[in-house]
Amino acid sequence: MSHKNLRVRCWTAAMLVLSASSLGCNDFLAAENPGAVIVDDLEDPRYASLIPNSVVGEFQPMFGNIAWWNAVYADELWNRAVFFEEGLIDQRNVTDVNGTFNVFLYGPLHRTRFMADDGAARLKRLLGDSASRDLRLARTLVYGAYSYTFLGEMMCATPIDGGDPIPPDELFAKAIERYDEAIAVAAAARTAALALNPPDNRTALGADSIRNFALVGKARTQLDLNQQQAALATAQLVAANFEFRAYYSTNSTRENNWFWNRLTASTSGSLANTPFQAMVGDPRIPRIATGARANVPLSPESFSSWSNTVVDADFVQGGFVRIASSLEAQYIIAEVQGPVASTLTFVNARRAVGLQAPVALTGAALMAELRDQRRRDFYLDNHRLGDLRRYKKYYQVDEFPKGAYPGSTTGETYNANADCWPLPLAETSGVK
Amino acid sequence: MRSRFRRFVVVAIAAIAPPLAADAQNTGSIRGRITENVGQRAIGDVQVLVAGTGSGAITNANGEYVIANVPAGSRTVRVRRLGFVPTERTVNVVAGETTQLDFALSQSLTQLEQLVITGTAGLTEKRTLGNSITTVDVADLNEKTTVLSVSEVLQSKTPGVTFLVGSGAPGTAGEFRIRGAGSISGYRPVVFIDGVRYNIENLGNFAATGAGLAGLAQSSQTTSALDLISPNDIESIEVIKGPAAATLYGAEAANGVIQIITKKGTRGQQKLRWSFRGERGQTEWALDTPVNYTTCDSAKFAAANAATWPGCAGQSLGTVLTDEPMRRHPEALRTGDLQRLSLSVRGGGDRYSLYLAGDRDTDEGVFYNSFNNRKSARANFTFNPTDIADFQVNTSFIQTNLRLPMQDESANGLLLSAARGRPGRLPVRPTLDGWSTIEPERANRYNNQTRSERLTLGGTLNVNPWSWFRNRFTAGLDNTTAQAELLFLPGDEGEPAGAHAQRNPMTKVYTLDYAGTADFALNSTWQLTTSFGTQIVSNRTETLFGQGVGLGAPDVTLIGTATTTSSTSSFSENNSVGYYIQEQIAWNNRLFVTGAVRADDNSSFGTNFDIITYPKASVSYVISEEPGLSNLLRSWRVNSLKLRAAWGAAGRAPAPYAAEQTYTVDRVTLGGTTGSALRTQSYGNPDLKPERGQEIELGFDAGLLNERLALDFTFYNKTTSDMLVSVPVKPSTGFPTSRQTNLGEVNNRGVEFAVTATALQNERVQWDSRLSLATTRNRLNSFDIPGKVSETPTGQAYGAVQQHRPGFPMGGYWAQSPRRNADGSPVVNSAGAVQFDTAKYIGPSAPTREVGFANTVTLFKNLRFYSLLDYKGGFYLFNLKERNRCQAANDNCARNNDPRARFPQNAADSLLMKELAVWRGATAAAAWIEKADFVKLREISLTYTLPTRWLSPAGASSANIIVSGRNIGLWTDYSGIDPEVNSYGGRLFVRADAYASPMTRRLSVAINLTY
Repeated sequence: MSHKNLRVRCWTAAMLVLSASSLGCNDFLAAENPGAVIVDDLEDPRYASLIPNSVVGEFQPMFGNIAWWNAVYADELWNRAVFFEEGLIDQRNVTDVNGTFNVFLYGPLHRTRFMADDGAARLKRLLGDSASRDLRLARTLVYGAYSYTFLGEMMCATPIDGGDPIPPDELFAKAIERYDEAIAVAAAARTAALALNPPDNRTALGADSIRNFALVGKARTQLDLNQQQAALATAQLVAANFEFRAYYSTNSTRENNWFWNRLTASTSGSLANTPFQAMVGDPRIPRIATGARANVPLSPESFSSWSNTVVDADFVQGGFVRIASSLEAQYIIAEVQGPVASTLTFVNARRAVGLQAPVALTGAALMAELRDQRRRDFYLDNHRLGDLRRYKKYYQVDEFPKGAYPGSTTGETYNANADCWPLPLAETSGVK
Repeated sequence: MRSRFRRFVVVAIAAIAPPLAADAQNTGSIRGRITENVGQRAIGDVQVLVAGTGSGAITNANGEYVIANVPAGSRTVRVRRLGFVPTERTVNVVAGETTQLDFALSQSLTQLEQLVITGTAGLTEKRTLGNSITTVDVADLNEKTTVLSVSEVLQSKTPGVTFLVGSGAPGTAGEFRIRGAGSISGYRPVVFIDGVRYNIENLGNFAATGAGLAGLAQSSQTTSALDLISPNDIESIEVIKGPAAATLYGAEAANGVIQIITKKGTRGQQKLRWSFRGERGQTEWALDTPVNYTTCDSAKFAAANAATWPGCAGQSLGTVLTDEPMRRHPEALRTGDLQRLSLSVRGGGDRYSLYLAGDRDTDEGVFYNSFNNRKSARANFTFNPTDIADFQVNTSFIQTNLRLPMQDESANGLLLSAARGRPGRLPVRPTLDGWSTIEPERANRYNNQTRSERLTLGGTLNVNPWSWFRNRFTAGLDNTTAQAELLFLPGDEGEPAGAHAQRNPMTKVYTLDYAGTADFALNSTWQLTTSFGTQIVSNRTETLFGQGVGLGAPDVTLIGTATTTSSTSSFSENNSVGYYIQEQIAWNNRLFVTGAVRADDNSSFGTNFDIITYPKASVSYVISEEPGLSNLLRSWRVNSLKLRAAWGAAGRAPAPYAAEQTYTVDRVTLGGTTGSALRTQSYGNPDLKPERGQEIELGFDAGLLNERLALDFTFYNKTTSDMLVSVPVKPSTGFPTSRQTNLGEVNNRGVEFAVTATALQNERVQWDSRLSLATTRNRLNSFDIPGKVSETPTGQAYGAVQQHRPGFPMGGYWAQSPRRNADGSPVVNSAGAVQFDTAKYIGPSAPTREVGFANTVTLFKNLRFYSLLDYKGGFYLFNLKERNRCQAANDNCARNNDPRARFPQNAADSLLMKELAVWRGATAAAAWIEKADFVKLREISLTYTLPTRWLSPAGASSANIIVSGRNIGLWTDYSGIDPEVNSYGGRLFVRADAYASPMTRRLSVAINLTY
């Protein structure tokens, strides 16, 4: 064999070796990753049951956080903390570089919303026709709907999935779409469960709960849109004695009740210098009475650790929080019906809970009293900021704190013009 | 099964036996001595080979060798040694007799015939390369000084390689950059040991900072698996510096390649050569320690304060109390013990060669709770079953145990406590007298240890079926298992309830490599060399972490017994495959034109990105061998001159899983139960691709004055584009944090220049000198992160004092200065606060100029003096320690007390007092960023080679005694203790002197014995 032929053969052999070695490369290049699920793998039907849990798993820690920070931003807490960003939030001087806002509110809220939207779409693909009567889809939808409602109540505007910012009213409209779908799916799930032999009563009860949860959220959102009669009609559908809760535990910091973390495990806020400081004696606004931690709130009514007294109600690490209730539906009904007799009756019933004497108010005074009772009943459970914005927008009642910022030695003031959260820098400069 | 194995053994023996039998029947021996042609100094470690037989030997320290069983007849013997002209002679071997064959080698400082590793099959002569490769002769270095790690081997000896050390504590490592920082997110080179990919990552040690377990998230000093290997086992290290040279190594080699070549035996029926090295030494804190001051002023005598300042009682007004707690306290600093023992054997038979070695090193630091111990064993075998094939098996097992003292910016660090002490002040507890936060009795209980075991196993099969066709197959595993442990017994500082944390990272790197090279002589003038190959590397890391807080009893420390426990685990895998083909055209063995292309795929590439290709081209022209020019050059005393130019590209792969959109699973509280839930984890980037480093380098190698002077000059210009940058993801996407994106561009350019000279050479004296100089100009060309004009390096705790900003060096220092009125006084606002300008660029944070100056003087052939001066300049350092001392309410910043203090604090000088007050208010102001240029006498040694006649009674063939020192002298204007150290040694760009342990002085005596 000539030298040249040998060379050609060697070349050929080399190319064959290289080609052969490349054949198995695709498999070889698939790196194992036991710490994660690749997005494509979520199309596996085994993930279907995990999806609603995933939305709840994001929603509950998020809810604790936004309830806290919205309370600081509104008028429920005064938080002149050492960490300057918290003080700026209290003054509503929030700019796009405020990392606290991005990390604790904006990011978690959008993660919840995304998990719900993405999860609902995925469930529909995974479950096919049965999705329309599957309670898992209803749960996923309703939590997603609430996250849209919260976005609308908090944000000046916000993009969805990295798009252009959309205003609150559009966010509310998207929320209502989801509430409606959740209500329909829950109703179908209930019907299907009861049609079984034997009937699946547990699922039927769950469907009732999801339906009521969605109804309260829908009515709340309709009120946010000033669709008063629609809100009234929706609220009237809510079952009596209904409550829906966010649950917490001692498992991990993320699963802790955030108010326990901020007010019992530490002292990061106070009701001093807020309108609630004056509500002494109302067991719905309990607080530490004296000492270095005087005026630090204790568990209010929406918290499982509420003791219905003005003292002895520390927040607990695993205590749950009420998100929605028939009480809220009653407030919505009263607000829409206006200063009528039933509203006065309702107001006095709530005053009794607060150990307040009955009143005989009418007109605007009665509606003011209704608003006062509402802020007491829903203290620290993420209603106040939405209410303040709603009152300001539709009733021309501006109850946002204004003027000099209490405790400031450098002349800080509340930002009188601010009533909503801006977009964080991560949103405006981040990539999609 | 057993019978099949037996058959295999019989066949294998049969394959080897016939040549053995034939060899034994008609063979002779060759023995001889190899010396320098001038001075006749014996040369050790010369490789002697009988051409065409595979037999050979390596000379001992006396230059002697013996090769037995050489087939009778005319034989060509080739000798080769780094630094000398390869030489060959023909000798007639007579059966049954011993033939004497001595060589006198000429020095060749230009090294054109040196064989180096380039990624292709077999070795390549340096003359053919269009790029520069720096080779460090580690065996020679071990003969004349003490080096404990690869980092120490490379430090200041390889122009273009910049070491950014962390601290002087044993076992800590820094970062190193080859030709500047090539990227914003990483710049480490890849390392191979005998062709097997070698892990150089952190050992998983707990950061020795913070308070108790709370400090675990912080990063300070790091460790490197690279430093596990004992330099005693290394023959040489080759540094391939940039993409122009590293193209064949592909998508992970943009920041250079380091090839470690371990010692091997040589074939031939030679006497086994035993070598023993014993060494004893000490490390000590030779630099300044913090001195603290208290001025007993009227305030301290005031009745209200008298109890606080008992030290001032009885003193006169104005008395200055001084204290140097690190020197005063008997348990603060010690002289650390250094012990090293090494035993190795080298030899070979007709069809095999071997190198076996065992090492044991003990290195105590200067702190009482510091040490770094290493035991290692290495076995390298080469089998030559036939004349066309050989098979190498290289194995090593290394076991280390490292203990890190609490240091750097930690309240419980002894150095911080010593630097903030206040003499004369009533201590919180009696033992804290003179210390700020912690005293040695407590600090020394800090127990942070990292144990590691490393097994590296490599097999290489070389098959050369024809003289023109060479093949190399390599398979290897590098397995590093570590156990980091942080233990606080009940009552210990930081975790009074007791705590125990363990982290167990296991890293496995698999290598499969094939390379083939075929030569083809077109005619006597033109030669083609074709090389091709494929390389597969798989890297897996699994880490298990557990911690328990609340240990019930000091003797029961298992994590599971703690009152609260938690654990996590992590896993990472990365796989890559690459192919290359290279063609080299040689003309008259003096002009070499090379072109190549490499293609890579990697598991971390995005799904929208398939294969990356990297081209290269180079020219090497040994112009001194051009007939028309050689006479002219010789008239200029130029003996050899090679011009070279190279252009090429290489990459750096993304982090594992960075391209994939992933979810993870977490817990969710569901009423009274706990369930599982998905969480978004990584947004991913399907377009993610590797960084692309592209480089052009131009240079020459010249030998002058009969090869007694060598010049090596290289200019390089390296640009990395498509940098892997973490960019925030829009939170409205529902995904957290950031994603890797290909953005921006960075440029590094500079020159590397080395002058190697034999300044004096006669029978009594030889003076060899090497001056190396390197410059690096690093510029971030573009940034391209949306919405940002600059970014703070990851981990910089002091905000924008360091910035990545286009047009400036990455990680450069930026700081504010006070605005001044016309009279020089600072501008203040209505509240009296000093007004500062916007931050301005101060300077780079890494050296931009480096000079190494090594001298070796040999007297009377047996006494050798060696020194290495190391200069680093053109950079700054954030003196955080001094800033803290000046900001705190004490007198430690007072120039009237301490002549080295940055600011006067003399009450009599009110203007200067005001100036101090101006700077005190600023966290990271320009006043605290100092020029950090320095010169260090890095290495110094005296080696005495004992006369052979003294050794004969003991049976030894050679012996020498080495007295060596490291970090002997420091010259700098920097006001801190050591301008070289960095309290954030484990971070890519963060540099600050915040109570890091300085580099310690090391003195040792070693004896090398060869039998």
